[in-house]
Amino acid sequence: MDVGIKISQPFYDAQTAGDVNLLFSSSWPSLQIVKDITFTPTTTFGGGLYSYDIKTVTHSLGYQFSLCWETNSGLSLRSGDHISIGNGSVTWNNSTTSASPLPTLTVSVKVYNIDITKAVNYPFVRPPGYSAPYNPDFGIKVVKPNKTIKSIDMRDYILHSRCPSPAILSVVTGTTTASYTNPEGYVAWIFGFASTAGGDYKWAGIGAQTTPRLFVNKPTAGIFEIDGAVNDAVSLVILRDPLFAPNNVNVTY
Amino acid sequence: MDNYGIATSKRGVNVKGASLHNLTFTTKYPMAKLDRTKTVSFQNINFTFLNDTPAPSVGGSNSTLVYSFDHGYDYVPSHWMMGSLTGGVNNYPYIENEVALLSSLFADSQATLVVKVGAAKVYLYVNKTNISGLGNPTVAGVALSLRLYVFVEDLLGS
Repeated sequence: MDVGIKISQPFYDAQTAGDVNLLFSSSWPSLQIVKDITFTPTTTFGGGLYSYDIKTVTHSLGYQFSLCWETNSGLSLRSGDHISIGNGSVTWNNSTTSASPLPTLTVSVKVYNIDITKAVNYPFVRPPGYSAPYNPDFGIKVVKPNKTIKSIDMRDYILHSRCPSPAILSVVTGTTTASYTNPEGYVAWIFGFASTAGGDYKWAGIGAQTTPRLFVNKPTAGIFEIDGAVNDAVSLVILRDPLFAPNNVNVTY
Repeated sequence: MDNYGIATSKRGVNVKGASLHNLTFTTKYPMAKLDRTKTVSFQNINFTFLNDTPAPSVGGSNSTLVYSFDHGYDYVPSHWMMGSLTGGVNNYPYIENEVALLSSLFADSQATLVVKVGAAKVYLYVNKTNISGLGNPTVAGVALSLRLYVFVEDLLGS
């Protein structure tokens, strides 16, 4: 028996409705942001080159899945391979060097509620191909402290059934290598990390030249695999889309 | 400060004192939200290059804006992108980290797709390099499918 909170869409019985007909379920392992970190990196000039100083920021949790964005002249770019994940910390290291002064960056790190060292697995729910229009008369909302429940800014909410999140499908851990099979042909969001000799977990780039690296459709179609160095602790973080249909766009250049 | 609100734990775990890892949901932390009333929140973009972007100068690089759209926020929202290539010279099956290798002749003669987000728009650029002068990495004929999130949460964590 499933326990917790369920809110169904209009005309659906919350006790029997499938996941795609729910507005919210506390059983959904949703992606939550446990810490936001923003800083402006300093630079150092030496040997004729400018370089960014390495920055480590701490939080009170474990080896939390984290992503970073670097904003330069008002435009942000996600730069996953510039961070490594430690136990209660995230380290940013942008190895760009230049003979000219480096651009001023604003680095934003989001630390999420997934511990990449702890294996988990949740049932797959395929996102729908069609969604009913949003009905503001049904749902749930929980506002952040010191914000008003009448706010129209969705940032002011911890939870709002108008704004679902990606959900955790699985965390797969292993030694040297680990793999995940896409469920039912669905292509999940997947992120890979590897730790050498107990050090911080480093980003595994797709098809990178050196370990750690992430492979798609290896050894066969529908399988993701992370390869670390021998005896590396490796981790795959897999998420699925929220349960509303995407907007499909065709673009031609 | 005491923790108020709602928390649900995994089956078999006492919610009282449960670690974050053992909670399926807690109102202590905000969800990474995608606003379903905004079409830009979750998109599948099927991109086809019928034409090439300008070639970089020999020994240089360039960046060409190939697509943009308003995201509807007045701040820089966080974003994710991934996708797969379905044609072209390099048929990589998967893209991550907002940089997709579209085409390459040699290691320093490459065309990549980059997604950047500003305070009003999302921008897709094709960046080309031709550092050694070995040729223009063409993107004509490349097709790719992108899955793109534009989150409610801004990069400053308000």
